Amino acid sequence: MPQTTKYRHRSPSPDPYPRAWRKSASYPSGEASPLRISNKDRCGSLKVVFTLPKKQRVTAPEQALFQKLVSQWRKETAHHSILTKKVMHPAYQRIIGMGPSAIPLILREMKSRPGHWFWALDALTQGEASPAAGSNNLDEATEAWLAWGRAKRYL
Amino acid sequence: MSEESRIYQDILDAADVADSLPNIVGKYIRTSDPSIKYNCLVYAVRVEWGWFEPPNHLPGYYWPPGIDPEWNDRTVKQVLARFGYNEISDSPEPEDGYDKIAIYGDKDGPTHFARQLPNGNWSSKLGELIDVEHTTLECLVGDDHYGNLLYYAKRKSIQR
Repeated sequence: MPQTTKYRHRSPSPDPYPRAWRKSASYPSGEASPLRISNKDRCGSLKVVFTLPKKQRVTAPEQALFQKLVSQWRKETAHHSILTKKVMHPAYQRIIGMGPSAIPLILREMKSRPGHWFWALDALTQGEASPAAGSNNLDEATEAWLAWGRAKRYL
Repeated sequence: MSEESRIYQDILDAADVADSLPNIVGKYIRTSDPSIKYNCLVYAVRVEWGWFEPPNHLPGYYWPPGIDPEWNDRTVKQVLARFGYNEISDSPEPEDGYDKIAIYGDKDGPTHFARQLPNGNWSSKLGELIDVEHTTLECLVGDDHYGNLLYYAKRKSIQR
């Protein structure tokens, strides 16, 4: 005879919590968990509140423009070793000019192919403390920005 | 990475080099994968870690302490001297007992550094692209490449 498990909470789904706990546990260190346990209801069950930020959406024209600019920027600056020559390039400046919609596109690009996107991300997230602060090298800076992007649901 | 993926990646990397530096096509041997872990100045002085860039507000870059935080001919010479390259030469010929670096530049200052190999060839890190061995220095000269050859810096070899 198959065994059954009885749950004390009131949720209609059999086991909503473990998945949430796993998500909380895997959250990047130092980031606030999106999961909050606000209180107990009158039956003693936990009330769980999710506060995930909205997933960032990018339009197809924005994506196409971004890819065109990245392609031009790489072609004309990938061989340069001097940051100024890279970030002052017109295509790079136009990417910054796309505004916040460029953030998820940059992070996706950075994830698939690391590059010098720190300047643009810094400009597009003005007012926020850089998640890469304290990084000793560009690998660490890249990882810090990607972790930030996942926490903000840009990725 | 499978052999097939490796070949595919090599083709993509070669295409990137051809896109950015058409004059070097057919004149180099690839010696590394692409990387943003280090730049050509770091590679030339044989450190091979960090991306040397004058201090700015961005974390992750490195500039030797005690040198003015700006990129120009004077500060770059100071960086080279910090790593022992304090003799300037106008000859690209190999000199027994010396490590030599070729310095390229344009109106804004130094743009690229290639180090000489014991066989007389040159080795370069191409920005954030691959490392290459090239037989001539001229294949990287041009307004849309690294400008002109400026001078050579050398130090007593530490490898022999």
